[in-house]
Amino acid sequence: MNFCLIENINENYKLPDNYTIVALTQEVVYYLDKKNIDYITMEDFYSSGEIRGDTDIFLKDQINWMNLFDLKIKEFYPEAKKLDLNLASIYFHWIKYMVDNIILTSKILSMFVDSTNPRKILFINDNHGQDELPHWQHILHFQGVESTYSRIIPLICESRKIDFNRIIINSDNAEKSNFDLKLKLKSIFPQAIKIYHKILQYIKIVKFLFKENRNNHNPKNNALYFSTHNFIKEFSSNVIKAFIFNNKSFYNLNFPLVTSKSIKSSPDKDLIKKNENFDFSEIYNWINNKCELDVSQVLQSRFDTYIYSICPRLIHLTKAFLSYYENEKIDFIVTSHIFTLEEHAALAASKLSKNTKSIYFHHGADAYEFNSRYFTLIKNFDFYFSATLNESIHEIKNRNKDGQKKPIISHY
Amino acid sequence: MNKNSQKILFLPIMASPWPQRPIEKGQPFPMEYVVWHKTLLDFFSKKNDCHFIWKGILLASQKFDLAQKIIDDNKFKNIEYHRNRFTDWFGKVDKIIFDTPSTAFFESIFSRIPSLALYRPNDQNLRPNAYSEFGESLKPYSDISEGIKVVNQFIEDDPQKYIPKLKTKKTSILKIII
Repeated sequence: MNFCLIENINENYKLPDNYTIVALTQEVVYYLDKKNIDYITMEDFYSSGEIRGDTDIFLKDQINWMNLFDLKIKEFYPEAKKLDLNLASIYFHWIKYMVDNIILTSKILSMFVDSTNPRKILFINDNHGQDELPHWQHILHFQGVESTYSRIIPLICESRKIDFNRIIINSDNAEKSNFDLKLKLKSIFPQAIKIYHKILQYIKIVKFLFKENRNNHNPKNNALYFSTHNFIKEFSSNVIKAFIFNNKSFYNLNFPLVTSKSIKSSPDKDLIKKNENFDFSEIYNWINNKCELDVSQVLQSRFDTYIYSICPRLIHLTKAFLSYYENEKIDFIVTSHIFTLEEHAALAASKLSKNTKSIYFHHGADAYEFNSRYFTLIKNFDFYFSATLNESIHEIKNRNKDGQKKPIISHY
Repeated sequence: MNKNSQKILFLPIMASPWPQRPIEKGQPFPMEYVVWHKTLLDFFSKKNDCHFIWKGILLASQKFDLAQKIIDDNKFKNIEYHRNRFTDWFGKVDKIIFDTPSTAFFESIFSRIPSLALYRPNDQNLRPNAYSEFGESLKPYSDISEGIKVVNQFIEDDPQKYIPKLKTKKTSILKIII
């Protein structure tokens, strides 16, 4: 049978005859429903529970792989080895989302192909080759760019000798989409919106520093905050002087003035290396084995970004944070999110620092088991506070299972 | 809307289009919810004694919400679609239904609003201490008809049964860290 997999559609495109239509997105489901056209979905062939399988076994295997990745990075960057920086583990969360996405997509598509045994596959979308990330997305992710279905289906077809064709259309998503005033304004007045946000951010920082340090005449400790969220109220008491890091700058209240000092985010030239002969094949092989498919070409640009751009910047920034902690005698760093390079480096520096402890307040709450959270996030901190008591009890069990006594886990 | 009818808010799972989730049985893939959401909308539309708010939630890069289109096209008399802040509805609705036990579910419980969060035991693993923590407010379903029955029961039931009291303990963060 022939299958036509559709991610985007427009009114002018005539669907091919003799193909079973597979709707991959909500837009296409809506379009086909409106036209009373028969279709199937990928979800007719899999459930997420089934393809995720035994997640604990997978996690154990992935941790070993991550340890290997740490070693490879240390081998590649002697500076990371010298500092004993486990750069892959520090970035575990983002690497995991990137890699897991590819593994899951490969499994879904394999299951589909195994179940339907197609002779020909036609794939229709509107953004083939698009890889420019919207500014709000993480650099390793696949959101807002060409989908992972679109990237992996040609590889599956090639490996299984299925005739593959692609059609790129101009979708009329723009007309169908739900109008978003905020996004529209952002695209019309990018500079003005940016400045407006910076001013708001600055006001927030100044207010936070004044409020937290108002009655703080004899601070015993210094804390560098990466977040101004309300839940740190109890923590930021009169014995702790507050500093803030925001948007590549350190802010300090020297009464009555707030001064800022920016951090240089580009590393020295001698730290930037691009040695394509260095053998990272073991890193790719683990993923390829999980996918039962060679997906190296799908991941290479992102791994290259991580290895050749993110890692040297992380090394450079870690040293910069370490020196700031020593100069300002920072006892704690406090955050509720780990997203930017600077936040990762600040965390890595706290692990190297003798006197600076890291504190994480978990934003949000949930009821999931999510055992990987301990390894991708919690383990990197000295103190971890969850939103509820039972969540902290669960994470303490995960820590104990790992044979560790740290981090100290509680709730706020 | 009848003055005496219940106002019920439904908060669906976020609808990102591809399997962009980790290998963890936390949140299933949003495309797995398409048939469920269509059936739920049909069920809501026939429940004339209730008024429903479908609180859409989109990612920054996302432009399309199937539920919004279905609600707009069908002009249901008892279903409204909104995308404003979830907590803005506190005090304005009688009960809240959640696709999954996420942060919003906790916010609702702490605000003492009768809440029901659903989960799919084949696709989601909850932490062991969660199964009993939420009492009637956390319910499994294995297929769509079972899910509809659970939702209907929640709508018909005494709301007081669905306000769990979570175990709490006071902590002094300062004492822990210093």
